[in-house]
Amino acid sequence: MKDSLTSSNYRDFRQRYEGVFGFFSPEGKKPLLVCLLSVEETKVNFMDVLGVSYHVNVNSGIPFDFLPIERKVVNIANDDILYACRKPARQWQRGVCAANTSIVSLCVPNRRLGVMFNLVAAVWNTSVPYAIAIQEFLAGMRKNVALDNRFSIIGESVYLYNTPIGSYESATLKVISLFKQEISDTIVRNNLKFKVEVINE
Amino acid sequence: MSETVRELIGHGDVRRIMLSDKVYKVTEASCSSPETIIGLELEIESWRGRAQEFQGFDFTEDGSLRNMGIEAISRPTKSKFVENLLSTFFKNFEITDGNYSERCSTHVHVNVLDFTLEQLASLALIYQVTERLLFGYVSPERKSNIFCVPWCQADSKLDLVSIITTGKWRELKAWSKYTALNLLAVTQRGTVEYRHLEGSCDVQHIMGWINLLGCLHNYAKETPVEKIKAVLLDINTSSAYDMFLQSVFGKHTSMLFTPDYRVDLEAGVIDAKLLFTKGLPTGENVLRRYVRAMEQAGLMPEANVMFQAGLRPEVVQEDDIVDDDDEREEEYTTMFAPVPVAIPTRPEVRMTPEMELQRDAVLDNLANTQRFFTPQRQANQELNAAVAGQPIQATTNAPRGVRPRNRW
Repeated sequence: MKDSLTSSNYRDFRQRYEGVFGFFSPEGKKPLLVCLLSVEETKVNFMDVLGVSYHVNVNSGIPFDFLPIERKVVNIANDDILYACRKPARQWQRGVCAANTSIVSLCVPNRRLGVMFNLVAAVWNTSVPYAIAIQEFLAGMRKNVALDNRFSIIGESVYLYNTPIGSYESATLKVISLFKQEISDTIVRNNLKFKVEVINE
Repeated sequence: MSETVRELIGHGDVRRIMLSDKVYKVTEASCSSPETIIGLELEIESWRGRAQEFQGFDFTEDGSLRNMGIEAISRPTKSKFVENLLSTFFKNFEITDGNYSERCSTHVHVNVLDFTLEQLASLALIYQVTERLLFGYVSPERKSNIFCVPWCQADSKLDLVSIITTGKWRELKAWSKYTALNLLAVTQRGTVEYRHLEGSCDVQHIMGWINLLGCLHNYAKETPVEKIKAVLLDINTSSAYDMFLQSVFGKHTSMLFTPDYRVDLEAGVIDAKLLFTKGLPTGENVLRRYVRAMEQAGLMPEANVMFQAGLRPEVVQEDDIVDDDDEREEEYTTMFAPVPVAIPTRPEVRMTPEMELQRDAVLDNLANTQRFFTPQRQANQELNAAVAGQPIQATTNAPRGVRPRNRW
């Protein structure tokens, strides 16, 4: 949803967007992921993931785009897998923030991560691409890999989002029968030479 | 399992509060489920009409709206009357597209009092499969609305099918109201609430939505969970997806066609299968069995395998779903309630003559002090006496200038 600061919507804008993540999207330019630091009557102060500060004046008409994150798993550089999803809850804030978004690490049990700028950026656009992460996994440089936005191999387990659905050992995936079709499709799409078997239920 | 929602939640008969069949004309021909009882919540801004009961509508304020926004809540009514009901309502209050903003939405409550728990589970499953397609019917912004979060984008800690089918339906009380299909309403009103639809005065658009919901409910009522599960396991070709859609939505299927409807359906099938995963042997269960076998054999399993088998499970997100502040406050109140402490009783003291003298002196002193407070005490006595209907006695020890007042 696009929104910009005007003289008439200052209070609403501050209540909804102060402290959230969104995209600064001037016309004709690539949207920039930013955090809205503060909303004043005359301007909005925000910064990008590198820490560079900006501001946009009231009534400038330059919009911010506030999109929720998609539920997915992503690879990040330190051999970790992040799982992000939305949280339904009573709230005033729009845009990505801790009130409506959950980001957790799948590689460290029960570890809850805050909704921090680098994590949000990783979920949005700076994660390791799936194809590259898979190549690293095959080369032994990674122990954990997200195969696509749903399935991941974490150590000896196979996950669908954050739910374990099977095990992985020496290029063989043993999964519960419900997901044999889907995991096989994912293997084929990624040109992997893994075998898919069904766990005896 | 065969108990209905009505029996479980102890809800009365909805027909007592229903809109009379004689008020509005029937438009049965276009209805997918004419006898299904529904209720509507219409959020409207720039309201110019007088907030009064209008042919089966109640009006209430809604804090999330602006510019004299109101919420018009219809009484429960059968689907076949809704078209006429809405047309009359919009015409009477001269509602146009100008009365709606992105803040407005149209919520549809569908009665499930007659559903068994298994039918409710079937409904949850079939909804999960088709959720993305249903969002294709409504305005695109609704998918990113924070008050209408799609199930497929949220992470429910509730194992829905098992909760419903094993009779632990009370756990639905922890459901979040702000999900696109709100199941909290099952425990409150015996309905399920569809929050997808944007604010609109287009009667045909709303009727199209109600027809789709009617199809979902018809299918859920007729199809057991195990049959749906079998269908989900088999479905893996384009033609199978089309046939499945046709079997659920019949002649209304075409309303759901989008360029990506098969991709959406495929994703929905995966999401629905997730509802079955609890209790099945997964990789971790296998590893745990392996660790146990190693330990029984007196061998030490590898550290990484133990780690994997031990506490890897799904990530616990305790407060993801709780949205009721009152419940949490109650929890905290209980948590921080003072611990009852046993007060020691005072040991009995035998009075010596000296102590008695000392006590008398203290009491005399106290009596002298109380003289100064007597007027107020006297006034209170008078008041009590008057209330009790007793005669009021004049005081004798009031300080000078203070007289007892006869209040009655």
